[in-house]
Amino acid sequence: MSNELMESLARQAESGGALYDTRPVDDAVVAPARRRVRRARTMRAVGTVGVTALVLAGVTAAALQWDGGRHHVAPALPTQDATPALRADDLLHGMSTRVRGETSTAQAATVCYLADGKNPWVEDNYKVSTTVFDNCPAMWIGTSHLIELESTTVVVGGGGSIRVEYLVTNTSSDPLMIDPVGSTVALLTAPDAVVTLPSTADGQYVGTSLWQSDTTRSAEMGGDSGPIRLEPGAHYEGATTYTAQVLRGSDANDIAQRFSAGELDATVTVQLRIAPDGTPGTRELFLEASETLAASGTVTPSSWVFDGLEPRTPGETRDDAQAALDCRVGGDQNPRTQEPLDADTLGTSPTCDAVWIPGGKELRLSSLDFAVNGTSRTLEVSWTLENATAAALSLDRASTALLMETDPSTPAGESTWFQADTAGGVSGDTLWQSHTTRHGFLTNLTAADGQLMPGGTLEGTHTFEGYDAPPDGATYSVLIRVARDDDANGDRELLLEVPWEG
Amino acid sequence: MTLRRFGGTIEAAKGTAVNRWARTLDATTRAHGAALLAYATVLTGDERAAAAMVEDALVATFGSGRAPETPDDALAAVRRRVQRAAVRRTQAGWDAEPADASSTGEALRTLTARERALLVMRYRDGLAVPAIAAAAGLHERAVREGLESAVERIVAARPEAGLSVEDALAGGLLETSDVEVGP
Repeated sequence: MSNELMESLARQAESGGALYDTRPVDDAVVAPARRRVRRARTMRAVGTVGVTALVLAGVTAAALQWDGGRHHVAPALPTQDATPALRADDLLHGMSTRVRGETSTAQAATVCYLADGKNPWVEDNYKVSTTVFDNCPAMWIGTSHLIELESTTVVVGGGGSIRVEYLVTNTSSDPLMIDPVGSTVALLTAPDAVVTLPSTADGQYVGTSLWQSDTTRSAEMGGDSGPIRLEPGAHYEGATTYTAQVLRGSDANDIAQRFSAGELDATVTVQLRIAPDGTPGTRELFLEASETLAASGTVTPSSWVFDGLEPRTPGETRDDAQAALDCRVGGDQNPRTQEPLDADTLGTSPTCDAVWIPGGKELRLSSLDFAVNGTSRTLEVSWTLENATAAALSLDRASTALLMETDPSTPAGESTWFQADTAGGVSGDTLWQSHTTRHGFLTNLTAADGQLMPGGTLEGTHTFEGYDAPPDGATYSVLIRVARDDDANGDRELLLEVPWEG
Repeated sequence: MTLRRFGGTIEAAKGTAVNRWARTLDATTRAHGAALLAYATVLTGDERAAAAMVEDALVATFGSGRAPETPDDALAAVRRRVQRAAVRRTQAGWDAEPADASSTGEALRTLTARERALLVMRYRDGLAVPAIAAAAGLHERAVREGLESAVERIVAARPEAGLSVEDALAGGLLETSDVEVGP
């Protein structure tokens, strides 16, 4: 071993460690890290799907500013590395038409052309919102790949969700100014087919193919944007979870089962947005990379409590069935199984299927009382649930919520507002998100060690902020989670929904 | 039975949850920040790249899944991510041509990013090839090639450095868990 080498390394270590004392490291490293972590965890906590983790590796020295500004859209980097990153305008010149089924060593791309004022990434056009464009010509760029997809995994969760993780590497010799946050991950079953316009949401799409015709592709635009510089050879990691609800609403609604049975390979296609030079204009460029692979994991047989559920629609009433919500969130989106028991209270309000449990009412609300505090403008609602059956019910007494719909005549999906708090107060004009789905509520709190005996009651109180009186015409219902033998599995939850009929 | 009440909106709840990992993150950087920055600096030879790498590793460690519960747990996770990033880094301005070097420090600058990181893991951390491969997420063959090339470059630029390819490839520890980081 070389003493000279060891001494040299020790000197550099000393220098590096001393940086912690002499430089504003908290501002440059810790604070940006905290902001990025908060964003990633916030997205996860509220059940948002999309890119949930973004990790840069291999960033060159020049990519960092000590002021922590390495995520600025167009950073002026007064550093030794003056190589400008390639932006969309730099790449749009060397394009040729790409035809469905064609192969090439060139970089696959999709270019979307927009009318003035229609680019959703221009701040003034934010109200344009996320849109799927179907008139985006497929193109080839250059003669070799600029990006490649690596280390892709597709894992089917027991409850029928699908988790996709991937790594995108800059294989070009130039830095690229990429926008992973504004990009889309597509999970495809027949990537060379032509399909009608697909629907995407929050940067993810599941379905047959992105081809709209032999020469055009679909692409999603809008939502968040966060351009970053990706050095040659560097990569970023992304991950997304397709919940069972999302999958069932797609044109590949049996995809988890087919992956699970080994009947189908998965194709993951990333449409990576390349940031424009300056303000987004009338063209948007997406580089594409795909990988086809066999999925792992299997859909496990669900607990018996999910057997025989029947769809429930807005306004429907039944005396021979118990209303409920079937929440297929995927275990990694369920705070009960994702967060440790001693963590701070956490709540999410996922989209759940509205269902009936045939066999009569299981619970009824025997009381609902209001108390208004005019000073603090809070509305306290106390409720009492009663077991309406002749059998003991296994319920999670800590996992309850009170739903308040202030204008229940509002059509499904058209509520103008929505609010949820950690104690399980969930409110909006209507909580119907579609003709078949409603907002549910899940928490990391759990107390499923007992049973509610026949005639037994369970009381709770929820407080809504900002009310001087109970809203006129509002309706109320209580949610409570059904405890199961397989409670360790957080992929799916069944919530009984008990309306106030007084 | 009356249920316990919790105040605040979901946003507030996220805040309290965040505070938990944020406390661990802050504790980790307080306890190990200097050591991690030192280690990343040695791995890269570049203070700015080291800071970027530590930031990315902190984000990766705390940003998804279950965050580490103690600074020591976090240290191991962040350190592993720094190692993996270091061997995958590209750097601008690297001169592939070995040149005479008046010091080992100058000789180190003739190495690629991967070669340098591997050499540090081999000699500063004292790891053997299989342990380096496991820590860096590389095939052993890639580690051997990188180390061999690194030693040859150092020897070419600074013959008196006292390194040999044989020692680089044959020596070191197989365990990675007891390696210290920091100056």
